[in-house]
This record gives sequence, structure tokens and C-alpha cells, in this order.
Amino acid sequence: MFTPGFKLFAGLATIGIIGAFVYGLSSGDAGGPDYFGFVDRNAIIGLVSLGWKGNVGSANGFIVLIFMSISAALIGGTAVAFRDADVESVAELGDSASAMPLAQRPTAPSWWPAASAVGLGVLLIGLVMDTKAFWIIGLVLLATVAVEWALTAWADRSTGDAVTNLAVRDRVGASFEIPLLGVALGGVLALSISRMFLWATGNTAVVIAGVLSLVIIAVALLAAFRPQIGRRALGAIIGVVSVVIIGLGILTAVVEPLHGHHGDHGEEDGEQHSALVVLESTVETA
Amino acid sequence: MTLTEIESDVSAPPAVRETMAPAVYQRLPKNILADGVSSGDHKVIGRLWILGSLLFGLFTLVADVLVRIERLNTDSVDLFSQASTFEQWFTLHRVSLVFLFVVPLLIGIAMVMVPLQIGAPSLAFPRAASAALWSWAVAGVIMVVSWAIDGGLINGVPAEGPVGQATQLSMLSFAAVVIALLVASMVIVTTIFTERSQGMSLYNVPLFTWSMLVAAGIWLLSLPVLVSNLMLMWIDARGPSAQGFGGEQYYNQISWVFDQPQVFAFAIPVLGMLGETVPVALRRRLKQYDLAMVAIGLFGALSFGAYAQTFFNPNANTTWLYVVGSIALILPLLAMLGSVALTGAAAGRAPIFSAHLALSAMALVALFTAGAVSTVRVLDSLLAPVVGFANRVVGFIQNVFDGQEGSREGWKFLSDFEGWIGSTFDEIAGTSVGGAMVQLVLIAGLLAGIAGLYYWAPKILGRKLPTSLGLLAGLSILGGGVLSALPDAISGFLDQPEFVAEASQRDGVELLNLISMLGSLGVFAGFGALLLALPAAFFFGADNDDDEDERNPWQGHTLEWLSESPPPPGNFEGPYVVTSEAPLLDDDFVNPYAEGASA
Amino acid sequence: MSGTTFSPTDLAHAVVTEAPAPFVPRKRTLQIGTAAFTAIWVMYFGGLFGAYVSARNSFKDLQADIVARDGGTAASWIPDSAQVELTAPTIMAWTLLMSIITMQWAVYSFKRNDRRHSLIALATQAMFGAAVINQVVFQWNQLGLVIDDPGSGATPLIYAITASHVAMIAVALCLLAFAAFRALASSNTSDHVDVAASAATFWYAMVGLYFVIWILIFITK
Repeated sequence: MFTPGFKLFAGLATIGIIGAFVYGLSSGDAGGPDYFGFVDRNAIIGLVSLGWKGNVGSANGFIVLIFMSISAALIGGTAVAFRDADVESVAELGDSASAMPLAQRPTAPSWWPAASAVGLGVLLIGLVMDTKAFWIIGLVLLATVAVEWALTAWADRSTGDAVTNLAVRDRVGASFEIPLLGVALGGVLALSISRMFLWATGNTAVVIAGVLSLVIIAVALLAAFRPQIGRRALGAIIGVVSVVIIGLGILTAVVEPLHGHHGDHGEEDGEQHSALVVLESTVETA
Repeated sequence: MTLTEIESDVSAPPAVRETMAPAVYQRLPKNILADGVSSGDHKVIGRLWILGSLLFGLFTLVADVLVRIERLNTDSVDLFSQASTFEQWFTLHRVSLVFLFVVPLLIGIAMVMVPLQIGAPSLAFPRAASAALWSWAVAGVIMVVSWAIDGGLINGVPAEGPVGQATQLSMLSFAAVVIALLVASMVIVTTIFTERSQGMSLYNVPLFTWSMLVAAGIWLLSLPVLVSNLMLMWIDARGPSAQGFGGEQYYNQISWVFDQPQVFAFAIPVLGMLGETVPVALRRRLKQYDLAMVAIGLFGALSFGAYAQTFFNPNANTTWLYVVGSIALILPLLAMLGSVALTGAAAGRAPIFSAHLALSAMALVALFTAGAVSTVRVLDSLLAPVVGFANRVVGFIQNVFDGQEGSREGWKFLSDFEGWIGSTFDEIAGTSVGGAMVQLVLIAGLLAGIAGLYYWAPKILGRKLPTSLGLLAGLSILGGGVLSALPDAISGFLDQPEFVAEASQRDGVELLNLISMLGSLGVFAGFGALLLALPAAFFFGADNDDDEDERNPWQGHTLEWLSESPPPPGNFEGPYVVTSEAPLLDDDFVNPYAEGASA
Repeated sequence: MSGTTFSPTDLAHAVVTEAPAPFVPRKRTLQIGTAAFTAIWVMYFGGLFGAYVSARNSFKDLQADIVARDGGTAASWIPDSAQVELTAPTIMAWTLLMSIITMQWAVYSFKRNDRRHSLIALATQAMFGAAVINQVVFQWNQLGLVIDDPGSGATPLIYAITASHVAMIAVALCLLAFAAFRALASSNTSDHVDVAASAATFWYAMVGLYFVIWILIFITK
């Protein structure tokens, strides 16, 4: 009737309860024992009422032991309810009692567990830094991992062939991954280009705009010549161009802008006005 | 969505293997990095746990040597820039010894071997195990780095201003390390419950598997309390000025993890390894198998120590539960020893000597020694009340005979004895006696892990490890461990504090610290021998021929010895049916996949 | 993204073919795992509750000693500046009680292959969870506790406990989302009762822990 798994965890639960009572009684009430040199009425009331009335002495240890017995009872109760999940008892749940269900097979390779560690690391660092962006990025990464992991787990159950399952996963996932990635990449590129324009002066900005336009046209022309240019080659070119633009965006965001400090446009205007006045006065003097 | 239009290009794998592993494993490119990081095969995941633990272990043992070198001179701080830096490295060494070295090593061996022992193709949640691995690794690196850059838990609440970011990062990353270990424990518990072979109830599981079920269960019940301590400290530390959940040092709030009885929870698998290696060496089943299972379960229950938090209750280590529980830990060890002795007597011959048998025995010796030290630590709380009570009884009897009333001192020598116990043993609280016990317990856990590596090397690595290097490693680690711990235990009686650099000025302490430092060098040398053994097995070992000797070189009794060395993805040719805890010894056990077996 | 060699063009023109039947994992695995996972959370809260009660008792004992020695009135455990109202916690308690019924309704619907009611129940459940989180945030503003306040140490403890409970609700909502995903993505919800039952186990534990919080922090203060 009682399975060995239940006996183990029920034993832990019983030891926890007994330990809690012994600990609460022996750590005692500050007033000391009331009867026979060791019976403490307040402590006994505290134990029986689980700390509601009376005084169990060291409440921390008492509560930890009580919760230990609750947790162990939870696992033990689950174990006995499911007969320790013995394969014979699980087989009775199926259509045919004679067919023993197979144990879990190794899953197909997946990068998402490792990606969850990256998200965790970003989250940890973000939680102690003063900027919110880091831990929000960490949370977004973890949420992404959770969605992709769930999708992969669902696809693993679609057929018995792992290659087919990977294709199913891609088919379903591509419908939202590609648009989202496209938006994200587009947003990052736009942000990088905006940093470049903020860094540049008037003429330099014109040059930058011209170069960027030519690059975009060139990539578009290359794409138009597919399939002579392979998908991988085109992807590599777009990747390199994106990395260069993002890199330049980061660089221009940190270096001193060509036209002076960022944001000091009022003062710059004032200075330019004053410079113009000086020039005009110089010309007039001349 | 229903699948209707996908064309598969997979070539038909061997039909019988398809039931045990996806065909994709037959066609994976041989890319170690990609296969390792993304693998869903429990053996790859387990190997990475073991590799990570060994790398962190190298760092941990170097830190141990440095800390002990610092204590050679008790007058000043020489090696580290200041006393607080020494304390940071001391506590980092201790934390990493448990959570980055010994426990992950045992988890890694369990991840490889538990599915093999129960006849399963995989863990219950392979991707969760992989996520736990990588999260542990990333959080472990962040923890070590943050600790090293003036973080750690040795700092207390500052007089004004917020707690430093490095300290906060240490708290969070430590919590993340523990959570990763908890997820791994959850995977192990679930695997043992749900993936067993037909006919294998929990009464019939191999003892290492049973010990990992108990150990993982106790970790599940005790380590979340550590996470709650860390989260409480961190939330307090986030405020503009902290309230003080840490007092003078944050480490005080979590010191219960590195104290008895909790620290013994990290050595539960020692009993499991003994139960695996001894019957195989004696070529017979373990006698009193049920007793051995009860002993392991009882050892686990007695090692639950989350209640004994001296930060919240300074008298926690003098309560009856603590004292009796600490001493009672010896009983399951004796029961296990009894079961082993009965098996040896029944075998009627000497066991077949092997490195893994010797290492398991050494682990038990270290555990017994740790038990003795833990008993010494609670002697005053046990003996003083007993002697005092006995003296009061004597006084009461004397009153009766003399016709007097009131309290009365009984025999003077009992009073003097009670006073001596109190003055001698009460003062060892907070001294290096505690550190000695922790060192011995973790040495025992480490030796059990190395015993597991040696015993199951054909399955974990695909070849046996050199016996000579294993014996050298074991003797050096055990000898060095005892040599580093016992002088600490003695110097604790000479007022050597636990982790203060400028320590006791009493005569003899520096000599004891020198012996202790030499012992730590011995442990490091033994670990070096283990690290040499691993490549030596590949460079000098024989190739695997997949014959019977290679599959089961030790004549083992349990299911893992039916698989190839190393096992392929899916582990076995198919599911097995077992009827006892040692199926390979059963006369009626038939391996349906052996050559010549009938269908 | 996953290493497959198929291109979208290949998939669009693929030929109908037979794929082998999916591997069906053993039942009960997820439920045993969830029981272990829930036990971790219960022990985590046990540590927090033990710290809370221990700190509160120590503070009250200290205040009693001070009053006995110096006279005057004892300081309160929760700072006087905090506004502890029972309305929000009580509403949360009733909300969570109702959520027990909807959670069991969801499990029942899963067993009966009733996809529509499964999703309605899970959506209602998620709404209850979101409502409770909203109430907690409202209560934080209402309490007005600042960790900087010197005094009893109640503030970090209260935030640690309530924030951890919010995290537990968030995890429970994620489990509900997985259950809903399985209900949406399969033709027979009865094949996925394990997922719903696992989510239910965790949810009930979350509700039980909330009642301990309600009594410990808001009723007994």
C-alpha cells in the first residue's frame, strides 16, 4: 500500500514534525520551564497552536522544520498517489495494459537552454546596475527563450522523426520570428544611423546619407540577382553591412561629435550668432 | 496545425535504436562545441558538469593553499593586502568548495549514471538539466569575479550609504548558482521516480541511485532556505541604507550551510558509492539491502540543518535536537558499515582490490573522522547537562540520607568535571574546529566523486582510468585532508578563530597551521594526480572493442554494465525487465539484446 | 535558427509523405517534477516566514525590555508611517479562493476534451492572477514603506515576502500559458491533462502560501 518513495518522504515529514516539536520545546519560552524543571506550558501551547499563541522559543527553526515536513509530505503524497510512477502503474493509464510505455528519449539538440544562461547573466548584472535597460534586456531574453523553448517542445511531439519536427518548428516559428527579428534589426539600424547623423555636421551628414543610400541600393541590386548569388552569400553581405553600420553607430555615439557637445544647440546657435557678428564686424572694419 | 506536407530526408536508422534515441543523433556533425552546448544527451550534459566542477575545483584548491599560507604567521597579514581580503578569499574558497566543486561533481556523475542504472535512455527533463548546467556555469563565473573585486559576503552593513554593487552581485549570483543546483536536483528526483525499467521499484534501485534520490531530496528541502537568506539580504541591500540582515558580516546569516548537520548533506552519496563498489568487489549481493537503504535515508534526514540558523537563534547549536542529531549521524554510518561487514563475512574471501573500492573506503574514513570532530563540538551541550543532572541526583540522594532539604552539590569531582567541560568545549564555538569538520566532510564527498569517476570511467569516458594514479590521488587527498583538518581542530582548542587572519598568539598554533598548510598541498597534489589520470587514460589506455570485458570490466551487477562503453545516444538497445536490485546476478535475468538471444 | 536544411521554398513545395507517429512520453513525469518544483517554493517561503517571525519576536522582546527599563510605549513592528489596510489583502484572498474553482474547472475541461471551456477557464484564471498582482502593487503604494526607514527591519522582510509571492504568481501564469498553448495546439486536450494538473498543483500551493502571508503580515502584524 505504501510505496518506498512515500515511505522516504513521509519519514522525512514525520522527522520534521517531531523535530519541530522537540526544537520548539527545547528552545523554550524565555520565562523558563513551569513544571518538573523541564515542562514549559507556554512552549507547549505555542507548539500545538503552531505559533499562534504561546511562545515556541526559536520561531525560525520551528517554522523551517514545519515547512520541511509540509514540503516532504507534498512530494510523498504525490509519490503514493501515483504509485511512485512505477512503469506498471503508469501503463494502467494507457489504452493497453500490456504495453509498457517507453521512458523519455534524449531530446534533439537545442540552443535555448544555453541561451537561458545568457539571459540570466544579463539579468543578474542588470539587477545591480543603476540602469534599467540591462535587466529589462535580460527579462526579454528569458521571455524569448521561454517562448522558443515551448515551441520546440511542442514541435518535438508532432511526429516521431526529429528532422521533420525541426521543419515543423521552423514553419510555425518563422511566421513570427522573421517579422520580429526584422523589426528589431531595422530598429537597431535606424538607431545606429541616427547616432551617425547626430555626430556629423551638415556636409558630413550629406555624405553619410549618400553612402548609406548607395549601400542600400547595392544590397537591393544584389538581392535582385538571386538565385545566381546564393542565399548564404547574400545573408553574409547583409550581415557584414549591418555589423559595420551598428559598429559605426556605437562609435559615433561615444566619441565627441564634430559640431561640439550634444544638446548644446542653444549655446551653439548663440555662439554662431556671435561668431557671425564678429565676422561681420571684422568685414566692416576691414 | 496538422502535419501533412513535409518531406523527410532522414535515412532509415537501425530499427531497434529508433525506440531509444532520435535518428538525428546518428547524423550530427562532429562539432564538439555545438554538440556540447546544444546536446540533449544526458551523458554529454553530465560530462560538462564534471568538467566544470573540476575547473572550479582547481581554483578552489589553489585558494585553499593560499589561505593556509597566510595563516602561517598569526601576527600580521602578509599574502593578502588586508585582513578583510583574507576573509573574502576564505569564504569564497568555502562557498566554491561546496557549490562549485563537490556538489556539481556529484550531480554530474548522477546525470550520467542514474539513467544508465535505472535502464532509461535519458533524463526526465534533458533540456532543463542543460539549462541548469549553463546557468550554474555563468552564475558561478559571475560569483567568483564579483567576490574577487571586493564583493563577497564578508562585508557587513556599511555605516552609511548603500551596500556596494559587487557585494549585491555576489548575493544574487550565489542565489542563482544555488537555484541552478536545485533545478538539477529536481531533474534527478523526477528521473528516478518516472524513468525506471519495468520491474524496478524503488526497493530495487541501485544504492548510488537511492543515495542520489535522498541527497537531491534533502537539497530540495534545505537549499531553498539559503536562497531565501540571500534574497532577504539583497532586498535589504538594495535600499539607500541597509537595515542589517547580516549584522557585522553577511556571511553570518548563511554560515549554517557550512556547519553541522547541514554540511553532511553534501556527503550522502558516500554511502551510495560504498554500497555500489563493495558488493561488486565481493562478487555477491549486499546483505541487508533494506538496512542499507534505511541507513542512507536516515543519514539524509539527520543532515537537514536549515533549522539551525545561529544568526536568528544564537543558541541553536546547543538545543537538544541539534546535539542529539549531530551525534546520531554516526548511527547510519555504522549501519552501513554493518551491512558491508555482513556481506564480507558471507562472501568468505577478500574483496577484489580496485582503485574505486579503495577510494570509497577512504571516503568513509574521512566521513567517520568528520563525525568524530562534530561529536567533539557538541560534547559540552551533551555532557554538561547530563553530568549536572547526575550531580543533582547524587545531591538529592545525599540529602535523603542526611535528612536535609534544599539543593546540594553532589560529588565535587562531578562538579569539577562539569565545569571543565563547560570551560573547555564551550570556547571552541566559532573556532577552527568547525572548519576542520567542514574540510573533512567535503573531502569525503570529493573522494566519493572520484570513486564514482573511477568506477564508471568506462561509461563516462569510454575507457578505464589508471589505477596507480587513482590510488595516489586518493591517498594524497585523504592524507592531505586529515593533515589539514586535524591541526585546525587542535588549534581551535588553542583559540584559533575560524577565518580571521591575525589569529591566536598561543604557542603551537603557527606550527599547527604549517602542518595544515602542508596537508592542503597534499590535497592539491592528489587532485593534480586525478587531472593527470584523465588524459593518461586517453593517451595510454587501450581502445574500446565493445566486447563483454569492455562493457563490464568490474563484473558489475546493475543495468549500466549492459550498455556499451561509452553508451551511444539512447544508451541501450531497448528496455529491460528486472526483478531484483542486482539483475545481472539473477539466474532468470535474460538480456534480450545479447548476441544469440532469442527474440 | 535550428540547423535544419529546409528552405521556405522547399517547405512550400513539399510532397505529402508519411511521418512516423510521435513519441509519447510517460505520464506522471511532469506532475512529479512539478511536485518537486513546488516543494522548492514552499521551502523558500518557509525560510522567509521563519526569518519574519523570528525578527518580529526579537523586536517585540527588545521593546518589552526597553519599556520595562525606561517606561514609555513600545515601538510598533511595522513602522507607524505605514498604512496597513485590510481591504486589499482580503480582496486578494477572495480572488484567490475563486481562482481555485476556475483552476479545477480548467483541469476538468481538459479531461473532458472540452477545448473551449479549457481556454475560457485558463483565461479567467490568468485574469485573477493579473488582478492579484495589480492589488499587490496597489498595496505597496498604500503601505508607503521605504527600505531606508530605520527601525524594526519589517520593511525589507515585507517586501521580500510579497515580492517573492508576486514572482510565484508570475511563474504560475507562465504555467497557465503553457497549458493554454497545449490546449490550442492539440486536437485532444485530454492528452495534456498532465500539464493542466501540474499548473493546478503549483497554483494551489501559491494560494495556500498567500493565506499564510495574509495571516502573518496583515492579520497578526
